[in-house]
Amino acid sequence: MSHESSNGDLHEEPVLVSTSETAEDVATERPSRLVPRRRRGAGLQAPPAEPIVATSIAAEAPVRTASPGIQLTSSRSGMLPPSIGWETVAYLGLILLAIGTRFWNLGEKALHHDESLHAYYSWVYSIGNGYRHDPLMHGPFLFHFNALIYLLFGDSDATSRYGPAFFGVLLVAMPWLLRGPKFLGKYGALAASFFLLISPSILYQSRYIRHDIYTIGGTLFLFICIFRYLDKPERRWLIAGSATLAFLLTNHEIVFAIAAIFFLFLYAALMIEQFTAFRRTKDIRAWELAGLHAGYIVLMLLLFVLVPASQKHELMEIPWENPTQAEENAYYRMVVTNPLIVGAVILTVIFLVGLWWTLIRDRPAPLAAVDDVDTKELEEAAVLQRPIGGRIYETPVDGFSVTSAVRDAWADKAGLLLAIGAYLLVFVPLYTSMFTNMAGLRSSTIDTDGTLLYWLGQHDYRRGEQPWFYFLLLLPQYDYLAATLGALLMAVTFIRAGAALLGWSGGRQLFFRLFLSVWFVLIFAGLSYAGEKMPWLLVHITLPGCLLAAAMTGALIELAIDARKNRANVETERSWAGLSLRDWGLAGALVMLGGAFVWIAGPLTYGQFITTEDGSHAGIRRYVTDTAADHWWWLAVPFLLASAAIVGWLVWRGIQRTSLAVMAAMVVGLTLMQVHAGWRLSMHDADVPKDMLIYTQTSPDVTRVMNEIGALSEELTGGEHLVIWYDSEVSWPFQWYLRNYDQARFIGASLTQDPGDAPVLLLGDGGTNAEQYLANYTATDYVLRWWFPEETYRGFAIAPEIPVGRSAWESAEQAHGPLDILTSIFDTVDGEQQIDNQLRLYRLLMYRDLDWEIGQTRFRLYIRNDLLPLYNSIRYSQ
Amino acid sequence: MAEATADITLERDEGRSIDLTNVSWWTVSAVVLTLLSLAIRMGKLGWLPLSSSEANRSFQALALFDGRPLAPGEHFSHVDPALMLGQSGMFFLFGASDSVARFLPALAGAGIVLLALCLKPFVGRAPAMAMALLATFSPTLLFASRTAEPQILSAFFAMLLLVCFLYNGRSRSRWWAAGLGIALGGMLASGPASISVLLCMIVGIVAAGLADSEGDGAVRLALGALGSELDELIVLGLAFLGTILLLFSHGLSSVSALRGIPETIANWGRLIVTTESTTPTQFFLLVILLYEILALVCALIGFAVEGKERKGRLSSLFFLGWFVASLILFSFSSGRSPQQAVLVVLPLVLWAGAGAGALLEAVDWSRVSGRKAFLLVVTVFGLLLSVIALIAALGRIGDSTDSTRATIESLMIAAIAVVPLGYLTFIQLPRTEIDETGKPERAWRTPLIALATAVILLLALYTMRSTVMLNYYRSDGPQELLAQRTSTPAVTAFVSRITNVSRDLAITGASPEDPEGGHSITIDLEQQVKNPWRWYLRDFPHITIVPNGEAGKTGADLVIVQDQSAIDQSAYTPQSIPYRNRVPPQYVTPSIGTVLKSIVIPSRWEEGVRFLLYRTGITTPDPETVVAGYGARISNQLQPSSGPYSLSDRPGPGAGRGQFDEPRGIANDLTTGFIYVVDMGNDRVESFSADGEFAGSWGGADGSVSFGSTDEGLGPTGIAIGFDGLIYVADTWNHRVVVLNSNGDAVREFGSFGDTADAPDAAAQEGLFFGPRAIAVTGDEIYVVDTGNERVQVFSPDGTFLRAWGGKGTGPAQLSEPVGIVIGPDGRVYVADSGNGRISVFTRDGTPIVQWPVEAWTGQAYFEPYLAIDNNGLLYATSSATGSIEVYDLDGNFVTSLTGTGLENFQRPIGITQTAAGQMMVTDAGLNAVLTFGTVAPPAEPPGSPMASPIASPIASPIATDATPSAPDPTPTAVG
Repeated sequence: MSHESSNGDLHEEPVLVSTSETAEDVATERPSRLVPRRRRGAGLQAPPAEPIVATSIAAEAPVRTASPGIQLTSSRSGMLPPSIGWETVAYLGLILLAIGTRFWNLGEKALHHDESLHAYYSWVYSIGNGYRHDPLMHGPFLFHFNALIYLLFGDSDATSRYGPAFFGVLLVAMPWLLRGPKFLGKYGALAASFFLLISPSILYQSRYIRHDIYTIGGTLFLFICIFRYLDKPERRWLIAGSATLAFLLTNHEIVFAIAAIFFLFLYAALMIEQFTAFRRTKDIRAWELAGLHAGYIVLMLLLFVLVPASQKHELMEIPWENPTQAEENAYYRMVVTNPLIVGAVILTVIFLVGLWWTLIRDRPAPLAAVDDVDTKELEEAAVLQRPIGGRIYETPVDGFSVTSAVRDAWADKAGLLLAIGAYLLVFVPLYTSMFTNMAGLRSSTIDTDGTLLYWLGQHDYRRGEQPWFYFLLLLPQYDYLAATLGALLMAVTFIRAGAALLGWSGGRQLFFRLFLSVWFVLIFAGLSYAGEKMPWLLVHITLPGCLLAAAMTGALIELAIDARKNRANVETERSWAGLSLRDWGLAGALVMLGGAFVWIAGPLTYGQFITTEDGSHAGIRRYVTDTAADHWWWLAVPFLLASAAIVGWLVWRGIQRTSLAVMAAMVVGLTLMQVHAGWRLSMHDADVPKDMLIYTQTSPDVTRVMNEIGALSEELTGGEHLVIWYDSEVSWPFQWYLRNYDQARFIGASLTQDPGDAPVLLLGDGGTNAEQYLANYTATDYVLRWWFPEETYRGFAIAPEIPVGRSAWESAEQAHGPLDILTSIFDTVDGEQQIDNQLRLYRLLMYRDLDWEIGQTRFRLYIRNDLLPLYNSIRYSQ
Repeated sequence: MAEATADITLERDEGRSIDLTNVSWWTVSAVVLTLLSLAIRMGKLGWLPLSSSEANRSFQALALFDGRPLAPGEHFSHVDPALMLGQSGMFFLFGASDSVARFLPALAGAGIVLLALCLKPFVGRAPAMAMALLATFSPTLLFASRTAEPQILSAFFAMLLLVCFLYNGRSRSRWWAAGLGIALGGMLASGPASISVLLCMIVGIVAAGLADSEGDGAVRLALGALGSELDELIVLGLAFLGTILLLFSHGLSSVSALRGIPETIANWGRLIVTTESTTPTQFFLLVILLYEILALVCALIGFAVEGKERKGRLSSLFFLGWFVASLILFSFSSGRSPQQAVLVVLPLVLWAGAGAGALLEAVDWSRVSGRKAFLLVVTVFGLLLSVIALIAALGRIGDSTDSTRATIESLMIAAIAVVPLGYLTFIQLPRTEIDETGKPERAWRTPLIALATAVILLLALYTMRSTVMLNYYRSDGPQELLAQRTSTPAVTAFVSRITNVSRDLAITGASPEDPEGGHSITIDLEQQVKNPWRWYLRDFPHITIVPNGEAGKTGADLVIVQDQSAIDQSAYTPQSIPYRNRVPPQYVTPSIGTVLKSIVIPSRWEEGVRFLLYRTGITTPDPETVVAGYGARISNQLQPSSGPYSLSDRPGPGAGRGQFDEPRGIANDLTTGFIYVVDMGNDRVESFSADGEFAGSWGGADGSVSFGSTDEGLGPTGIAIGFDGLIYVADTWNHRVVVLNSNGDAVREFGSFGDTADAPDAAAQEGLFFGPRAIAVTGDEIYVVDTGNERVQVFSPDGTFLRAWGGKGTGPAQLSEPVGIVIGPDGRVYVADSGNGRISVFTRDGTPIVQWPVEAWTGQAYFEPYLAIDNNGLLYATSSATGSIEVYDLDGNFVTSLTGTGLENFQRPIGITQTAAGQMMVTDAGLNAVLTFGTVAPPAEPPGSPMASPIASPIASPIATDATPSAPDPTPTAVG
């Protein structure tokens, strides 16, 4: 069985290692499994037998051929390889583009509030003033990495974002590791790289010093490690995966959710493998296995129901905010005596024992320890269909078997030890701040104000009060490809998986895509359920979405090329990506009709601004003009023309070519839309929260004021020695921006004394009592930070989990059951029949024209009156 | 055969790779050159501000994308839609900015380089590389690639046309046919000049075809292929049709825009014969001599050495024909313009590339390479420079005022440079050379090649400097012949200043119309000078294009006019902005004689060289200017003045002396004539002398007395003067009344916070205030309107509570949000009962007498009406919501409604009083000023209600008489 021929049928005959197939077949499928780990790990021992070595090489050969990279067909030595594939050139191009889009103009945007915290404490670390892990700012990796960057490249807004930009580039490069036919395939991997490059949310996070870009980089690599190990259990993937998991734990707590999803899928796959194998062999243990799981779940639920609410509740009363040791100890005592915990532990132990018993029972003794079996005996065993190493079944899907991977890992004790070592090598130095803060080991693990418990304790805080449909609305506004193609492939994959369970063919790449689909849907559901939904979390959904979209695109290209191969005997016209000139003509025409829609909709939707009584819209709203309303039907024309073209093509070229051309148009069109959305989001309007994804951002007024103060300071003091007072309302981000001003003075909550001769004060706009000290100053108001008007989307549906008035749930009396929620969505959709609403929706999606006023917090710049002429000459001289 | 082709195609699909063992220097050079051409086109694209023409195109492209309306009467350009549509697409992808506006031309410029490389099969490796190299660094091509003008697209599509045409001749394919059609359509959509380009290319084709006696040249093959396959012609036609339909209909979005197709043809006719141009006939010739001399020399040298036409090759005659035809046609077209230079230079560059390539191929480099040859080139190069310097110095001997010095210089140059270098050159010259067959040849070949190399090297250096100077340093000034009427750096500096000032003035102005806020200033642009300002001020929603002479009529904060006289009569502070470079007279009417003199007269050489290198010697005219008129708000912000301002000044809102920020109450000391204004936004009271001059201020930054204010910026409001000269201020948000003497010292204060909880009982919480807003004083009593508690409280002069009346409601004795109060000559108390939309009249003990509705107040909220009674016995009630003052007699009969003083319209009139001189004064929170107008004469007969016309003309105030005698009659406008 070759890699290509695996049909991924979940109902394939169970593969008992060296039972039903010849040794050569099995070796071809999973070549390294027949080589005992310990032997391979020893490295110096000779391969066990000639035939196996030969088949191993033979099995690897197709992989090499499929490799797009440097083709090692020549022994010529030198700096350059003898040839380079177009695919490699494409990756190099994508990486160059990633470098350009990630690193260009990184300092243009002022540091956001959180960014300034991260940057400041990294800077403090870099200048030798130490760092202590504080779960408020998540894990220590960011601070270490950023401090290193400051050491190497200096400290500035731009260098603060070098780390995320670097990871953004790595992320684009990583799909190269997934280009094997069982993963994304050649085209799918290229598409993945491209989609990650142009994903607006990922691009934004790649230019933004938060933890999420590091997490998704690590997550993708962990995913790669898992699949590469599943495909071929090489020790390097085991070690790399372990180190990556440690890295993720040192970065952000969302890794617990991601790891849970990964584990859940792999565990489920493992169990399904066993269940299927037992079923195929009519073994009663299939039902024992199912019963064991069902019983465990039922009992756990029962336990949860039976335990009094107060005792459940006290588990969540984590003393996460500056607890005393006594409070922490009390919490620990409560946990270990809590009936829910005790019951769950007991049930779990019973379950695990039962699982062990079910799987291992009747296990015949192996003929010998695997290491002691010589090759000949191994071959004989295969022929005789005698079990090797016990009766743990595997039912590979697409050649992937979790069972085998687990067994291989377990057999590779040295590898496991190395993996643990790699984990500790990453985890311990980072959490202990390079062994300068050993308390980090506690704060990273068991402290109630440490990594996990700190965030669990805040679970119910719901800082932004975002509704359940937050990501449902966020994703389709930016990552069009993930939201359409990704979701489409996810649906198809679930259908295929269902079909496979029912005995039909699941098709190729099922296991890989199923993992992606489960990841996509669970992370989406998990984040939508979580109390705190913030826009930067979107990238965790986007990542599997992009990979799914890429898998879909790759599959389409391969389909087109295959279809073209079938037609090759009768057709001589040139093609690109499997489509002929004519079919690209249709795709181009459809894209142009999309453009026509934009050009038609522009003037029709520009509308007019009318002063309204509704104060919530700052007194002004956009309405359709009468002329536009009369011509609204024009918007249908591109759709009609597109439909006509598609129908014509269907008749002329047939359904397959037409469908492929339409899909090509869709991919091109959505790509253009993503570039449009992403560029504006990350480059053009990156510091103006007209985007839901920006959420809140330091205004450009801050950098403008700092530039002006810098010029004033240089003029008056010859350097950064100006006396500047600032209060706590403006301390972030000014703490960062004033870091090099040796005369900057933090005055606490508000001004309570005469500032003397201080030339400049930066104060929040709330301290009216400060005015009495400021008679000699002239103030100018600026925006400190501003935020996207969340009212824009809150009316989409009823969200009963957040307070009344924060969604379409407008009063406590309003019904808000499941049906009411559904009805509220229909009402919103129904409201879009009004052309004024259509206008607003289109302007929002296309131009980010807001219907609401941007929220803002201001600060006040005070300039001493005698310096005002000089200061004005600076600020108005440009 | 079909199978074989398919197999090849499939192979291409499956296993494409680049064999790195066989990568030639040509390939590496081509990749590097393409990237380099892209980099130098894209780099610093936004440093030069958009010219008026570029800004106009860019604004239209932006409007096409986001739908914003053009100015009245303006329509999208129909004749060259390709650039506009492309720019629109770029704005869609990357947002609107100067750089993005030029992205497409830059890409087209790089595309030309790439397409030149694609000519390799038809011209050879060296010529193709030389073409690309020259196209990359050509000053003209680079400049055209970095400006948002359509000619670069014409040039690009011409190249695409050529490449598709030739490749189709080499390997017929529908793809090439489609490319041909697209290129033709693209050319037509890039402006009428493209038709001229097409004609010139045809001339080139004819020339090459005629010279191709064997019939196996690339042109003949391509022509033969073009007509041989009907389906290819159909594809070509469809592609052409599709392209022009797509582009001319603005991306299928406007059917009416298709009239651009015939308009393009008609405009081409006009371009050739009727359009008038200020560009001289010899302009393109001068451009070539000034910028493209390297290309010209290469072309001529190459043409001289070009070998016999080889099979499948493209003859230099093609480029020669194209170039000569272009030079003639564009030079003698009546509608010539500097932007068309790229269309003349493109074939020259290609021809030069072909020539340089031919030269490179003709030379046997094995003979001339090596250290000796390099040394020879260096010495010849030095000799060349020194000879030029010597001749220039000799030329100065006759003309120089210091002939001796020039002579010494000449001798020095000869002794130090010419003679040694000449000797060095001489000794390096080989006596004989051996040809391929081993026979001796004449010895001139090597020195000639060295000389040519030295000349080309010299010209290449000069061209490189021209390229850099033109494109990155000097095009924002008038010195460059090619960069005409460009915008000056003052444009972006001015826009930056206005953006900053606007933001500092109006940060609170965020709205869906102006999401970021800070763009709320109003701007008038005169039609004649709307570009490039409209583009640069595109984020300001309140921008109006007005006919010439109409700017500032509606009181815009900023006006941009062509001539200062347009705003001389208004209160704008003018500033001249040098925004567009003029063309130096030498460029408008160039003298060929002068040019020739500079070439042939050695004494002029230095002058000529200085011009070539530094552009000295030309008259650089001052740039064209516009005049920016700053309204008071901007002017005051730009040049903050602490005043003092008199009441007749209009400095706009501010905290300067005599300025106001939301003024409220006003009172007049009848004894001294002093006027006191409560400047609510600055938490202070300002005083003015009887003639309106600033006298002083209390509170606020002054610090002598502190009035309360809220986070929303609300401060003290009402004010009244007692007969004892004491000043009573309603310190609203300190919930008290402050009594000041004429020095501003607080004599006493009374009241503190008290909330009567929806005010059911007027007498509850005696002497406490929620928020006092107005005060009236008699000889022995002080009446304070306690607005929030819906009542009037009466105190003795020492602050002792006497009585109260009111309470929330609509009954005769009740009040709702009362504000203004005044005691009539009849002793009755008149209260502005704003919430009930009426004026309520009480006896002094609070007994209701009468109430009458005020129509202007009906349905309004939070409009803070104040009252005053003039010496004619008429009651004035301000109505800030309607911007009017309602006048009644004391019986409640409506007299008239005033909407302005006659010279100025009210915006938000609030506080009102009568001065000792008998005039009425009103504070206007909208104008942040105090306005003065005459009293309304009482009706001659019992007035009816409403009055249809003003009863009498008021006396124009002294301030109002600032107007010229021809000013309109300051009669208040009656609206009642």
